[in-house]
Amino acid sequence: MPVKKFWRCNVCNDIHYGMAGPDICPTCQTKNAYAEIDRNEAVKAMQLQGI
Amino acid sequence: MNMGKEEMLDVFGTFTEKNDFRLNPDAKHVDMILNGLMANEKKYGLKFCPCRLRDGTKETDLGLLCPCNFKAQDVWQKQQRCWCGLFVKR
Repeated sequence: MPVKKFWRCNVCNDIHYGMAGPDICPTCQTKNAYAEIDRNEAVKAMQLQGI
Repeated sequence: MNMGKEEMLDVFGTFTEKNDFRLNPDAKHVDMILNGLMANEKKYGLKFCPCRLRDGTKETDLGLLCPCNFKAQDVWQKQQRCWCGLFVKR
């Protein structure tokens, strides 16, 4: 069964959880801006953003 | 569990494949940067850029997560690579 992963936009730091990062970031509209990150990194990155 | 070097190379390889930049073909240089990223992740829990200083502010630190928004930097405009030289123009 496919596993969902965390992804971060390198431009605006949006975090996405799913099979792949969005082709176009829904927040900053940048194409192909999502890089996979691990769960710990996702949590820390959200904490850094005050989420 | 943090990513190892091979996993980071895979992740960055996937990240670059649809873009107009790629990993630096100098494997030794890439290895050095990955060592720095791993050290920062071990210390801070995040892959902060190993080539620039954090100042502890949210704005600066968010801009230092690798991969960063390097195409907005002057060094990309002038030298077509990120500050560290991890990513270079194709």
